[in-house]
Amino acid sequence: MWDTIIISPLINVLLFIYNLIGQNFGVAVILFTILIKLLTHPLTAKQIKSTKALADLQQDPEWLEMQKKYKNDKNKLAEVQMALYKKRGVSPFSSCLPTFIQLPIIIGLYQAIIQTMGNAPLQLANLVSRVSPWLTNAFKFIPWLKDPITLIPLNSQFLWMDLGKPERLYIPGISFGIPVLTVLVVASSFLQSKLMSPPSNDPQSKQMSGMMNIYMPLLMGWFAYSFASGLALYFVVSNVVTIFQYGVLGKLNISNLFPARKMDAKTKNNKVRSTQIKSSGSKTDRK
Amino acid sequence: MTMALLILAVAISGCTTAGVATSWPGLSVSQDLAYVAFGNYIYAVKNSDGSLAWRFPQQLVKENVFFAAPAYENNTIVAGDYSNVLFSLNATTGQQNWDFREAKDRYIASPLLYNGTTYAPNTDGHLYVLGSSGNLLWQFKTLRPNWSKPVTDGSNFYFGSMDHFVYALKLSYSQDEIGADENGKRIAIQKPLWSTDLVTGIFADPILSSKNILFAGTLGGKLFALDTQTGNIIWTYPSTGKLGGIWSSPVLVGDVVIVGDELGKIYALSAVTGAEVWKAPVDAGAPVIGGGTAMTDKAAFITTAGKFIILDSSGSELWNKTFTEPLYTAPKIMNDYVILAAVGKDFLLTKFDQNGREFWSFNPPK
Repeated sequence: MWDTIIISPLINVLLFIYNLIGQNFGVAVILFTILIKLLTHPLTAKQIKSTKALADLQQDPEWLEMQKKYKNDKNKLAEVQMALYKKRGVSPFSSCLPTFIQLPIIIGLYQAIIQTMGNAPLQLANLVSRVSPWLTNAFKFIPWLKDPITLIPLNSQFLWMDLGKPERLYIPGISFGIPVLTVLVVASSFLQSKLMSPPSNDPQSKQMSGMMNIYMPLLMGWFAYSFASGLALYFVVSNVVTIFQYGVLGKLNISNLFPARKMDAKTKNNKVRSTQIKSSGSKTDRK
Repeated sequence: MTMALLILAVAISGCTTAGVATSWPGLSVSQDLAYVAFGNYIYAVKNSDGSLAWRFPQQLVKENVFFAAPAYENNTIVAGDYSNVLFSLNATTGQQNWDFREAKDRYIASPLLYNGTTYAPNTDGHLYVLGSSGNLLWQFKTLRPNWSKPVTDGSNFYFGSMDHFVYALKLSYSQDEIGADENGKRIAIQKPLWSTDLVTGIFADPILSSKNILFAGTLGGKLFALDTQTGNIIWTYPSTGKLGGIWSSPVLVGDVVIVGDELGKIYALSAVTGAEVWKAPVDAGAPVIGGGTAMTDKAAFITTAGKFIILDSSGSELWNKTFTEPLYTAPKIMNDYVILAAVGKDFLLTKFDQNGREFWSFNPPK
């Protein structure tokens, strides 16, 4: 079921792109990732919007007030929170739903890439059994398209990498290989999670997201270091496209990258606010 | 999004192939021992009682991963692994004779060992030819990885490549015939005797008939009969359309060539004309990836659903035996007994007679 609905179609789309662009698997992975990201963009946009609405609500004075008021009564707190969600027309699950819809596609995308890179007999047998010429047949007016079975095994060479193996760049004079893609995966994952973290006043959420911002990039980096570099390439492209998507929607939290500037801005704001309070106070006094 | 990443991480860690077998056991036999390459070891198992004679290496070396069937000749076996190394071992003791470490990728194909010379196809797109002490005599470059074992008629040898071509080369070349490789070293044979494009990749080992016909099946689902002298295609089956992918060598029983495909069908064709011998193909019920073996006037085939079938010359099923393990490795006949390798928990190797009576099973020691 999973194979028929998700994996096989994705594998055939990936093979079709590979076929279309003249059999460069690296470029095919990049285009394939961008294509899937574009197709799922409406869901991503909805998710970003819902997350922002939720984050904004959590900054609301009414929300903050109820956190203080009912901090020792969790049941009551949940009740009034739900009432506030309803009042403001925000669903606490609305940001999760698009993610859960996208999840099978994300996992399927990853599995399709891994299976298409099969460079051992069992993997290749698995791949061949999924290859279908339906897309090639549908586009048979394109003269250079080949029967997809003739493309197997795919040429996994891309730049200095064999996309079916973990990537290392060997430079003359250096005795070990440099895992360039791993570094890019860690850096782009870190950037992505930093830029996408919504502002929060809740210390527990802050701590949680702070930990995730460190551990997730490291975990992804470990995958990139250990597994086929085609997967690492997918991670990098996916991260860059996601950052771009957030940027286009104006939801990047650039200030997350510069805590000092953020602090300065906060202090400045506080100063302005206290000056305003003071000046309004003195005006009142004068009155 | 964090949740999505977490679930993806779990999916990755659960789905990647690290630590999981990526192929099936490679099996070959001598008079007294069966050699099975699987995972980190090559095991030599006694035909008499199924006990372990030796294993190589004796201690675990994580980098060594063996799947290609060892080649056997004159008390020597040669086997390649996934860490790009080719080993020559004493077939009786398992002691290492030599190793060859110049290949740049893994060995998936079994090598050909003939008169002390090793012909080893590699997935780095080369076929390496080594002398009796493991010295590189010459090499031949193909356009893509090489996954199929060469076969020889005593003067030339033939092998299929994933670059879609079948190549014919001489067993030996004089120094004058050996040219320079891309680095200027005089080790390369530039031109084969002939090469024939079969349109899709060749994974299955080609076989030879006594009538100078080479049979090669392709992943694209065609079986070709080629003239070994010229490389010309004598016939193609089917002439139009295609079968499921052919993953295993055809089996020759007299003048009949029998081949199974990944859709689970077994076809019998005249070796000379390619005409269908049976009225209809035999439905094996599951993909025939490992292929079969000839048993005098009969043929035995295996399926990935664990079925072992014996067929007579008319395509009738004489008997079958179903194992709980999937079967991907072609069975071998050893002194009239069947030796079968499987991937699974029940056994790695088992021996039974031609009536299905089991004698022993072998599981690797922990």
